[in-house]
Amino acid sequence: MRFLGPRSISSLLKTALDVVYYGLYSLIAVVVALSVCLLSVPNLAAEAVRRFNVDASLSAGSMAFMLMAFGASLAGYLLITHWTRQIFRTLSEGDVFHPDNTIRLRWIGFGLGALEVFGYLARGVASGVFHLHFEPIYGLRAVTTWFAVLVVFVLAEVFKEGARLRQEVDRTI
Amino acid sequence: MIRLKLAEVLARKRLSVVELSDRTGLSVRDLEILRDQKALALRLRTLDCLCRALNCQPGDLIEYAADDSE
Repeated sequence: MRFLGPRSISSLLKTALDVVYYGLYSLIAVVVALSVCLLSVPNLAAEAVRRFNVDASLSAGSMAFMLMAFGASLAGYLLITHWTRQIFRTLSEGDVFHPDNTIRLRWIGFGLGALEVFGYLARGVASGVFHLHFEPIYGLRAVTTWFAVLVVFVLAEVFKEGARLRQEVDRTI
Repeated sequence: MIRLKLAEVLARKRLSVVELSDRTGLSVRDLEILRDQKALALRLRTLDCLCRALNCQPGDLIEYAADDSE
């Protein structure tokens, strides 16, 4: 099976990304609705916690805040998925070096970096303010995202050069 | 800058790009790009086709003009 063009691996991946994209939309809607419920009916959290027999010392407001932060990170993933879908759309059309793919890849790189920084901040706030404990990440796993960001930026430059060459070929008679 | 004089040659020989396309086998779109000075590069093969079809020398089709911005 070929990778580019209609009915190829990239069009299959584009469909999978569509599913993930709309799934993320639904998840964000659920998270926002839950946090609004927690803010408007504070007893809801205590009731849910009691029903599931979970030990939770956080107030409804704190839970809503954390849910909102989770929703914000999901929104970041939604944006990254959106740009990735647009890139895969061009791949499934067989148009690899589309001029817009460079800027999309750069945005993906910035998005991944911003999400990682947001994760550090969220973990810092959760452990500092809400006294929640997180497993520390050591070794190469701690820098995997930054490697991915670097690769994406390099890829953006490759696409930029590809788009320039394509334009040159198009205007070579 | 290098300037293509295809428009002038076509006018002089009273030819349209469609007729030139028939003679050379090049597409009308490509010839329009050449005529409108939009091309970035010209293959020797294309130049050969044009010279044969128009019965002229490469110098009749191309000229160098000093760019004002330089």
